[in-house]
Amino acid sequence: MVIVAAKLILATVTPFGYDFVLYLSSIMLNDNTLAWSPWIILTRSIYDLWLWLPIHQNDIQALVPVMLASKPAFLMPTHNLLTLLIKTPLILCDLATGFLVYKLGANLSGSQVTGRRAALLWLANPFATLFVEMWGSIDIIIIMLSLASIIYTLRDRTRLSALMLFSAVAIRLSPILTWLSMTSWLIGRSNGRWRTLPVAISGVLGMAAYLYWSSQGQFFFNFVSFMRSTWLFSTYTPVTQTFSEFTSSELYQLFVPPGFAVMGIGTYYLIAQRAFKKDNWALVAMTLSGILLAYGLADWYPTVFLWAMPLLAIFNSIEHKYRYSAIFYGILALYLATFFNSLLTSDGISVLFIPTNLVPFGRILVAGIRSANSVRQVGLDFQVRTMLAGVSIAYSTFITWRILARRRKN
Amino acid sequence: MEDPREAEEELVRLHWRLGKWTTLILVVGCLVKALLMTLSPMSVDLAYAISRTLTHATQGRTPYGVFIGAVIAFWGTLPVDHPSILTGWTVDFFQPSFGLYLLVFLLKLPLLVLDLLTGVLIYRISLNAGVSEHKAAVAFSLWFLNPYVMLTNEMWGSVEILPTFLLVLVYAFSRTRKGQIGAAFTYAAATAVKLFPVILLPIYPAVFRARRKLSLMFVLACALGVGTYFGWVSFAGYNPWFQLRQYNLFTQYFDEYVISTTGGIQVGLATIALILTYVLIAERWPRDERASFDGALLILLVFMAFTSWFPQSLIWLIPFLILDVAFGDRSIAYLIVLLSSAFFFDIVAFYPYFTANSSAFFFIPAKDYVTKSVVAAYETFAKADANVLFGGPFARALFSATCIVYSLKLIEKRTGLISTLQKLLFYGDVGGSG
Repeated sequence: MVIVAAKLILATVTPFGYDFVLYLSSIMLNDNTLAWSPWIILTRSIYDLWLWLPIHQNDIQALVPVMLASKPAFLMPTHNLLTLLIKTPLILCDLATGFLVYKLGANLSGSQVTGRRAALLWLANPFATLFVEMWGSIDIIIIMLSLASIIYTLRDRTRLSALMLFSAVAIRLSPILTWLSMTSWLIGRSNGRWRTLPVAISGVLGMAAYLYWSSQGQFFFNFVSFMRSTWLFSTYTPVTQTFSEFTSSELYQLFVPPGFAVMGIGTYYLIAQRAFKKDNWALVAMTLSGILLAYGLADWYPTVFLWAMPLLAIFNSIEHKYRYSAIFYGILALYLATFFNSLLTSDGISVLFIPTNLVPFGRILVAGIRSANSVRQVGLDFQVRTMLAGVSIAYSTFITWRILARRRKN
Repeated sequence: MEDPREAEEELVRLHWRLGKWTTLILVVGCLVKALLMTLSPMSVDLAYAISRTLTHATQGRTPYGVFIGAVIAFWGTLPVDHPSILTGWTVDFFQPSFGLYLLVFLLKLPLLVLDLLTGVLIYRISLNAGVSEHKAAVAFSLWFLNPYVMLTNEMWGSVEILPTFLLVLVYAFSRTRKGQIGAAFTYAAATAVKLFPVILLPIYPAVFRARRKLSLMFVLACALGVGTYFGWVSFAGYNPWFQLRQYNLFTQYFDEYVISTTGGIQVGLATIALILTYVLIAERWPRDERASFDGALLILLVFMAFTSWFPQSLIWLIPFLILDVAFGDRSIAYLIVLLSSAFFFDIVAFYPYFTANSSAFFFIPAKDYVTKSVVAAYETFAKADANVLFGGPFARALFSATCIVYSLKLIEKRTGLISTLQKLLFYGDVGGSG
């Protein structure tokens, strides 16, 4: 209850959440670029509901979050209400994820205590609260759907699993990683081909659905030009998936270098399909190690790091290996402070998206976070990025080793 | 019956005693090195450091700058000619005189002494490990008569020999139970001098994990060393963080090959490879005393394979490679391939350093017509398209590939991981081994 209360309060007092500001502003300004996004449709409905409420909504233009960022004095309690209303589905998904983590943890370990520990590790994770309730990331929706899909697969209810996975991929594409993992796992099982079919098709249909809706806005002329556009994976929006590999290049370049992420993850799942035992644990562990490997081999925006967190909570609660998690989260914090410094302090008027006037020593905290930028000034920022990539790959390797070690024991 | 104390004393005496051939190698080596180091005053780094010290610039406040100042003051009291250093000895000019050559000898003398001590340590460690006296003498020769060591230590005038000697001493100390505290202090000193030994830290908590106090002592020693390093670099007037990306003779330079440039965010291969190695060492490395040696060698190989380094930095690795050959674990071919590929790459990529603006050949002043012709021929060779576009890069790639193969062999020897993965790939099963 304490955790839920804390999440509610933090969600309410963070109207400057980076993703939240972007999608709410696009709705308030009637920008139809991504109007077909399922999340934008839902958010627009909630916004209309708020306008309908018998409360004083203030001047509409002054409420647009991108403008509020430069005029925090215009911030009204009604605006906090709107913030909470729009974030409510995210909070519910967060709590549902906690429940799914509990179920999955208990199922894999055969112990409810372990399941509860895993759920607590997820719900009390400050990074999860930062990205979901404060940042306003919609990644939590696809995480919840992916987890549900994994659970249904483990229960042999592959059609329901496929439906969940289709929804997740259609919303933001990135659960394609979970799709690879599940397909690779299902193929190796007895009678696996028929069971694989719904899941395999769901990934393809999900991709088609994602590409279709994301090409329907004003910004891109049509589906074909969208597909050919180099903007496809390189322009950040809070509702589409940015995917920029190391060594990726423009399409018109003569010699297109290969992408490390596609090569690395493709090879990993090809080997995993052959080498890993197809027990329940292997599915969860190989999904987790694939995601961690992806962190190491491509450039990502911060909320992407949310994907691994529920699975890490399960892995740690079962294996009791907290050392590498501590290192991973420590370097992630340094990475955020180094590369996303200005986002976390929203031009100096907020600290972690909370207006500075609500935070004791707010200005000092802003200065504190910004001081981490000195790492960039002396040219050592790429070392921080490298350490994060290295730790992610090493963590992925470690988890893979644990899967193999389990196989030997069995 | 023999008194055990006497026997132990005999053992110690035996290990310090040098054989006939070793003594001969030592004497010949000392003479050759003393001659070469005296005749090569045009080392870019050394000449630059002296001029900076004399003009009281930043470099003068480094420990090495203080040492240079003291030697010059001592030299001033000697009954020899004292030409002006500022005009007689610059980066691209040397006015020959007995007095200046004597100064060159005095300034480089500690490098020769440290070189000799490192050789003796290699000899002693080899004997203590049960290697025959003949093989120990070979190991000593491989170090002391090594042309690469002569070029980068005595002729280049690099300070890398000091932390290298200290690291070999750390290993020598850590082989004995009583010496392990001394090993931790020596490790702190090595880190304080040049910072790079910090990359070896994860070995000690892994190998000594059963002895928590000793592990903690190594961690504290590392912190002390790093603190001291940053302290003196700051005191000398540098920004220690900035210096990590800026080449300087005395401070530590770290640069990596980077994977990419997409979006301005880059990652380095060396750090990624090192982190993977650390996890492997933490999880799978055995705890015996030799494991710390293999761990140090593995980390240095991984680091040198992927990072960018100046020629003198290879000195860090050479004593460990030689000891591995002496222990009988590795063919001498690896040592030869690594050193020759590194040398070839160095003479192609760093030729302006070795010719000091065409006025020297490997730091020896080019005064007469013949030497100048040799310099010109060398520069033509180094700048030839075949070497710039193919020879140099190929040598660098060969060096990295050899380091990787060597590393894999060490990993297999210590963990059996490679054979486990082999079974996995070929049979889809690990068969209960590994």
